[in-house]
Amino acid sequence: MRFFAIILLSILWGQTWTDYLQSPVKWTVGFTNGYDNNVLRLSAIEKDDAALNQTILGGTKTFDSHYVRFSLSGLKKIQLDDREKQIQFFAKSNLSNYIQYKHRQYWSGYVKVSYHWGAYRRLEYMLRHLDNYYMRHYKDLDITVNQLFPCNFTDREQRILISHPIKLRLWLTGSISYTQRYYDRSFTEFDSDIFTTTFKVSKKFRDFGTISLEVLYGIADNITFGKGAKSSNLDRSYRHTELYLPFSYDQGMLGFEAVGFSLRTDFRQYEVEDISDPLHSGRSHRETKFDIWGKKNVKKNLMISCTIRLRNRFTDSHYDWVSELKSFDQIHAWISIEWKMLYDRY
Amino acid sequence: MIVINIRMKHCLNLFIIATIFSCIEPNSENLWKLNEVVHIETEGYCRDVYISGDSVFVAAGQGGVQLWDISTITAPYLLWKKSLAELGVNKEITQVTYASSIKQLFALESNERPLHIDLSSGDSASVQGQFSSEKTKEFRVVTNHENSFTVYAADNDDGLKLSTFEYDTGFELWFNTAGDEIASFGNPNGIDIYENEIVLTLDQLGIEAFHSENGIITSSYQIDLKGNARAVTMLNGSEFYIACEDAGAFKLTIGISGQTEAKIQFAKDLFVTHIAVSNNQLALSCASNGLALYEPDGNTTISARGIHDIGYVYHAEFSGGYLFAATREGLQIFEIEE
Repeated sequence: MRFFAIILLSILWGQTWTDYLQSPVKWTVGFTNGYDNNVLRLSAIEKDDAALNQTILGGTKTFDSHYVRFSLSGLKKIQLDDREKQIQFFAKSNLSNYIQYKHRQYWSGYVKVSYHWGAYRRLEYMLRHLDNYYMRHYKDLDITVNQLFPCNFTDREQRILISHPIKLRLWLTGSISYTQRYYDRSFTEFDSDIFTTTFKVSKKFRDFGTISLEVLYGIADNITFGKGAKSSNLDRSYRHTELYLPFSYDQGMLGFEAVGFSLRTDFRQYEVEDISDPLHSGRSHRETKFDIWGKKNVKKNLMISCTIRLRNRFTDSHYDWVSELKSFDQIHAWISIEWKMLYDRY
Repeated sequence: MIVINIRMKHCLNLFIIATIFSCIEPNSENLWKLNEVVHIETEGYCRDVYISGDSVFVAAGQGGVQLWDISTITAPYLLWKKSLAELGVNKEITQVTYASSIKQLFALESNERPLHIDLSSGDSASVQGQFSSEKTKEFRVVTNHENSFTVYAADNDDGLKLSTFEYDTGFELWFNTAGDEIASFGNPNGIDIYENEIVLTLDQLGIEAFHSENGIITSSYQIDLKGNARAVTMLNGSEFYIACEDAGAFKLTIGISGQTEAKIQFAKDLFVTHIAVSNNQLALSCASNGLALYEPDGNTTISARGIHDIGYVYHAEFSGGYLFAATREGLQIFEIEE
């Protein structure tokens, strides 16, 4: 990463600052209105239990919630002396608010710096942050027997990505990322460092659309295993493999300018094999997300998109009750409006 | 035209590098560790412990009373033990207290009467007999002078019961020379004393405080609390911790006229039977849930510092930088690592 920084800086200092500062900045303001039918990812059994004991809901009265999200992004392209080469700075920030779940109010965002040296040729560094994301209420077994506390985590991900063409409109993308997922004070036993590699092949068809296939492999290291109080005696490390298949059709359909779908399947295997802990021992899950979406440009600078996501997690365990307890279904639906603006002081 | 000077250039460099190397630090749970120093098998359940210098007196339940030497803390050894038969009692021993200045040991037969054991002649333990009344739940001993002591007992039948003993040098025996009985608002099951202030726990009825002035003891006030008040630990005459079983624990601060100035409830979901205090450390005995550590942060909050599953804990005491835990599994000595 040091070399990457040096290369970037060297390129920038190769020409005068004023040259590249003259390029415009593209701003996008977004607003998302969405619905989540199972915010806490409760299984059917947990929903039945919640009818008798609402403490699991963390003070709310519903399983579902309406949510809104504001976003602001900015893109600055710096054209270098060589017309094929450019540097792009991109930043996006989101502010999300679940109306029925006061605990789930958080911000997230990322910045990307990328160097482009031709079509589908790109080297990119991304820094992503997800701040204080509320999962649900859990017992903090280090200080209590049955009292529930809100469980939040913060993600900080750094990713390096490289993209390169193979043939005409066929390109490969590979990335490695390092995510620090650290929980708040009551649940540090879940703290993990996650290393992920991805490999993606994409094909763009003229007058049709784009299809890709991505394979992801990640290893999560539970960094607090054995280092804290009694709750850290369980190793929560896991490995996961993910397949991602996105498809987009950009020739217009059903009133949309572009439509698409994606299928994402994640298989996660926990490493713990403790027979005295049936809840976690030998547990794995398979999660599937199916998205279908459409985009429409209402005006030249105003875009609307609609997305529906169906999500299912099936947990596999030696114990049927664990499978039933940890499997769930979820439906997301949201509409986003994006207003694009151009700031050009020259 | 924007001028980029050297300083701005450095700032930009720093910003880019800081962004690239911007890892985050995990949160600290701020829990305290319990490092076990030694675990002593006490035969019976270890119901109570009293530390006096290098001597550790143990109420060993059906194992009677034991005295351990901890001059080498990692290798304690048993000096002597007295079985129930040797003590002349039938039920298990649930409390021990030692008055070091007069070398007298006191033990409590469960729900019966306190026992008096004379340790003034070397290492031999001479049982003097039982005194006070049955259904004594807990007691405290106050040494009046080298030949006199008074036992204050939480008598579940009668309230606060006092028994004063004096040593007769002619007969070389301790005689019960005075006694008194002060009715309480409810049936007491715990007691503590700080100078002239006495507090009894009254189970469902909370606590009752008494004031002793020139040998006359009068009730000062009574405060109802949630749960079942089981044991009280006094910091001074106006501040004390109350173990309230399934309602957790309370810290009470009492004003001059007996009104409650501050009441903090903590460990609400634990079954608390006793609270030991040492400066900023609290050790809560939580029966089958083990031992819970807490830290009073200031005037208004008491923060949890961890539950430690060390067995079934009856009682804990701080002494010499160590924490002594009386458990069903024996006597366990720990160091707290903050």
